[in-house]
Amino acid sequence: MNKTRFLILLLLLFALEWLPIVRAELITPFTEQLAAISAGIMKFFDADVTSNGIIIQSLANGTSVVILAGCNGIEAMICLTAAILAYPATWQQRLWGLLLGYLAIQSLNILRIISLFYLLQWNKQWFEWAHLYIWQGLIFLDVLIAFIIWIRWVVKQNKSTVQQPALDHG
Amino acid sequence: MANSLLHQLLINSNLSPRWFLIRTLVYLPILLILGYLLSAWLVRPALELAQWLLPLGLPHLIEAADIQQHYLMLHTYLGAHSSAELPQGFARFSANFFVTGQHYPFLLTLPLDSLKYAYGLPVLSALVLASPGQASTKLTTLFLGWGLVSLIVVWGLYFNTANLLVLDFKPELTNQAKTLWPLFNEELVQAFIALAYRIGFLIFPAVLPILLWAQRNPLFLEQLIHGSLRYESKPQT
Repeated sequence: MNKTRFLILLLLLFALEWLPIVRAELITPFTEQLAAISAGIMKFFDADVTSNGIIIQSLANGTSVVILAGCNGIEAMICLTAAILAYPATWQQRLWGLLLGYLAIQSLNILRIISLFYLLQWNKQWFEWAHLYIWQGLIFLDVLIAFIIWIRWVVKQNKSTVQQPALDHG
Repeated sequence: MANSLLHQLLINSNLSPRWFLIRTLVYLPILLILGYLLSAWLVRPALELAQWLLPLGLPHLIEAADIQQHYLMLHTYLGAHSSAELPQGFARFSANFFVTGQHYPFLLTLPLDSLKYAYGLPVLSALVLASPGQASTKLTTLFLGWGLVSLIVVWGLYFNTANLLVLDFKPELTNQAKTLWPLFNEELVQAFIALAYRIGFLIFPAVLPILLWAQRNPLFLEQLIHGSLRYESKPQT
């Protein structure tokens, strides 16, 4: 992986995410969808959960969580994007890596949102600990794992495309 | 069976990606808990450095700073006429109010949690312990990681404070801060502070320790990606 390209892309994407127009047109609607999906999943076992914009609330006890920057998984997606774009691969391979990587990140992130929502209702101190300490590390570990799996797939695919003509000739 | 499992979890140096992942996930919760329990000691050097640097980097704003467990308590000169005008839980009564006639009876104290920036250390430790290698190399990586995380903590605490004081608080407080600490080219400096805070909170704590691990384990990464080492030493003839 080209490390300089990775760092430049990382900073560039991070600065882009920070632009007010990107926040208004892309990040906020995405975060609202994330809140709606998380609340939708919780409704399967808890009918009192509702979402409004980026807020998820319990109608039973009034507890609510707001999904802010850092909680929507965007930064993890940015890291994965920078890493995948900095690694030599075809655009098709990159696209698959990004799609499945985003899916892996957001699946874990939804699990994080749901767990934190119930943890807050149970104990605020544990919520803070899990929110700021445990889940942050786990999400970025998820990025690393997704990236390594993707590189293995790319290497395997490139090997098989190189070996195939040789077998045909043999 | 149990011996084989223990061997894979603790000793085996020829790891498949699956076993590396399992080992990391076994170590991680243990190290997260251990890191939390030892946090007051682990972040102490970073907090000592921050305690010295922050008043220098935020001139005329900080009256004193002290360390409580993994928190840095920053006592500022910013204040209000009632505690309700300050963010909840952030007010202290001015000790000098009656003595020197200080302008505000209630002053702002910021409790800054260093753990927000230090979670990369347990993640790095789990990756290091799960990777194969000599104990001395692992120890060096852990030591370097601890130094790196300490710097990340100082960066995070500084820009978190600057961001709160000049951008995030109510206009009454941010105006006081800007009067005491006039910013050269205000808009540009504010944008830089906001960006540096976000990078220091959202990117550095997670990404830099993982990059350090990757930098220190290139051969193992190669093994993880290709299934075996590509650059094996040639047999001597």
